[in-house]
Amino acid sequence: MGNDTVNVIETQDLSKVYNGGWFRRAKAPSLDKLNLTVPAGKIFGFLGPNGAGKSTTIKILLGLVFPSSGSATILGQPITNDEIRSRIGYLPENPAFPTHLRAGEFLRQMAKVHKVAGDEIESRVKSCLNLVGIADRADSAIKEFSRGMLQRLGIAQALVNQPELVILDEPLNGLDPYGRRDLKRIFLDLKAQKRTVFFSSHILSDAEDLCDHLTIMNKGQRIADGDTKHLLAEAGGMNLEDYFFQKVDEDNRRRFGAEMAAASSQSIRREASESAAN
Amino acid sequence: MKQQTNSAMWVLVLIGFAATSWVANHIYDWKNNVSPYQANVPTQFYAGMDKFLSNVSWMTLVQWQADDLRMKSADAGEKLYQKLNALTNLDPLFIDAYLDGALSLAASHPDQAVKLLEKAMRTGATESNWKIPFYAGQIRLMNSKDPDAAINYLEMARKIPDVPNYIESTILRARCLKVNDEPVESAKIWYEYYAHIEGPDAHSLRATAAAQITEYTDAALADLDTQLKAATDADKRAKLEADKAAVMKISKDVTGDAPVAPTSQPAI
Amino acid sequence: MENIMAIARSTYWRHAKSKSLYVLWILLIILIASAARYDILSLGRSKVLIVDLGLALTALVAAGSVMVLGMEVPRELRQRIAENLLSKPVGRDQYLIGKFVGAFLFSLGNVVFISVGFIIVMLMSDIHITDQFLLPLIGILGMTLILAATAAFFGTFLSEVPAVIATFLVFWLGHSTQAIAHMADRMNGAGHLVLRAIYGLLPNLNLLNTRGDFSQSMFSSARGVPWSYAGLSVAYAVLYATVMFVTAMLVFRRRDL
Repeated sequence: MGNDTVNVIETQDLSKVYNGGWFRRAKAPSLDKLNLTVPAGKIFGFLGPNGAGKSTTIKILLGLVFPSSGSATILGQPITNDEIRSRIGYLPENPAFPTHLRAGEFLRQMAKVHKVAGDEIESRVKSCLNLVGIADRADSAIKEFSRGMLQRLGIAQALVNQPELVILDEPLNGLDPYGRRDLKRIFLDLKAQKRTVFFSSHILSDAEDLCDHLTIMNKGQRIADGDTKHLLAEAGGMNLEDYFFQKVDEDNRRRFGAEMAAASSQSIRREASESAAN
Repeated sequence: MKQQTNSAMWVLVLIGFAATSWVANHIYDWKNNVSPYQANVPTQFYAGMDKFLSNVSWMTLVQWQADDLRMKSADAGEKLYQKLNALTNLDPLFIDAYLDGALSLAASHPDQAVKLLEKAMRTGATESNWKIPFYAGQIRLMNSKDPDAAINYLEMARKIPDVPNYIESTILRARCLKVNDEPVESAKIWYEYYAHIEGPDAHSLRATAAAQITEYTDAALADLDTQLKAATDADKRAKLEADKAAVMKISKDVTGDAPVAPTSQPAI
Repeated sequence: MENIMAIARSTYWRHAKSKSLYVLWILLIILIASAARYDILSLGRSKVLIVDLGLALTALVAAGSVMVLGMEVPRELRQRIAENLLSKPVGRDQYLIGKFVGAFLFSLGNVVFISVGFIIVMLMSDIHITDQFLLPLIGILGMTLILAATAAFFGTFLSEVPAVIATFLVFWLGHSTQAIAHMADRMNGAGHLVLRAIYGLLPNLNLLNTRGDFSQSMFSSARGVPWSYAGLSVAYAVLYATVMFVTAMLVFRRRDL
């Protein structure tokens, strides 16, 4: 399983502004000129506080959300190419699946959607269920699944097509310690198979253990990016949690300062124009 | 490329909507000729349930009418008319509602009864149902004593296929009423009809007409004899003699068919 | 095509697996049959009542079951089921077509079941059935097509409840659009043309409602609609549903999920 491209994801000045309100006039910027490069065969952590633009980026990469400007490629293809998604596995945040289906039935359906060869479907479904530890629940209805089991099933469906790139949005959410341990093992297995894992997470200790490379986002912009060990070493050997808070706080202070400066210069200009008028 | 495809599809959508608009208007214009029901589909917001709702409305109307106390109230007729009008808005081809409703209204509110039947006629229901103009004619004849209006409706009924033979006798009754049932004129009206009866039922129809004519001629002769006894003026006597001769001729002509009791009118 | 059919199957079975649906079917057929008991109350019109009630309920069942589509798409978007599916090599058009086909097949299945029950009730009530019975059913299926496309359209940009309400309003008001045409016919010139154009743009479900004609022709000497009318009205339904559905696809293509 080799990747033809060196970088599996590349974005150039990717921006997204959501239009809200009755007349879609209200602008809510979510992503601001993001340049991102995800190297192949690595475990890539995409970190950031809530509202940093992580999910938006992932959705843009998967063609679920349209960028306001900028461009992106995935596995060397433009993101508008629907077919490229057969080489990608995706787990959404808080996943939900058709509750009237059984777990095995659902995975078979997903395998068919990915055009997995008919004679391979059964073995793929079994191996994926085994991998996430719910093989004994293959015939259980999804509506009976707990949150953690849904998360496991979500990971299984993301792997059913043996993807070159796995994108997971908060994959550790809802998992118990056993689940987290299993997932880490799966990530490492995928890496050993030269596949790329791109995941977003709030659980920084796990990210530190797993990630070869990471990007920290804040308010739609990238504020740190690089090899995990290198970044942490540069920061004086602090752990990822401390590094994360330091970077995000710095960025927030910088933004606050810039906003204050802009506000005061505006007020000075206004006062000057008022006195000139008098 | 995708953007261009989308723009082309938006153009196609606009063309598509224009085409649906044309087709819808074409069908709309055509449907009025397709069936009486299509021509009278209600415009109120019944979500296409009008036919079913008319049945529900009919059942509630029947229960309402069955309540004797209500029907005895002073405004019962007007209320009944309003209910029937609302019901026939739901289903403009509800023949039972028109006919039964008109009969219920005939005695107390003949104008409303005929108004209801006229509504039925406007829907095109008369195309296949002679009873509607026939009932209107009968109500005008029996309840309103308006022979001109009655003849109008009865002539309409006569043109509808499957109308029974007694439509002719009803029209003749209306024409007789127009001359105040004057025996000589009435006998002449009936005789004119009698003289032109043809077809497979001619024998029985002649018998019926002859019985009616005999009734009028008997009354006419008795009347003319009384008048002749009292008349002194020569001109008047001459006219009465001429009338008597004409009546006697009619009486003689129909004698062969005479002793058959007139067929009773169908109860309405 | 395989993806479309997979989505359609999933949509169909999601609703067809509901046990309450089968209870509802049986209750509706009992309700139609119970109309036979109203012979005295309706002054001998129980047969008419059976036919009218049966056709009205069939239309309601068809409309009701197709309205699930209005709820289906926004629900799957809210629950991220659609997000997961569309992250696979499944086009948005394929997803929407699959949903449409699934909802239409679900409605068709319901109409077939109710109609079979309805026919049995008619036979038991000595009501003579002719091939004309197919005419109102064809009209109901035409209406279902338009409503399914409309539900898909609303489902692409509204949330569940507003989408269903909007589809219901189309069902309700779409049967009375001829009021606009009547108004147009009382006007001259530009007013007439504008109102007629507006009439044509609306989903005219009344053109597909031949239930009254069928009932009328069964119990009186009135003529029913000819097959050519049914054919043309269904052609209209197919055309309108296609245009509406393509509009839904274009809206859905532009939507952020």
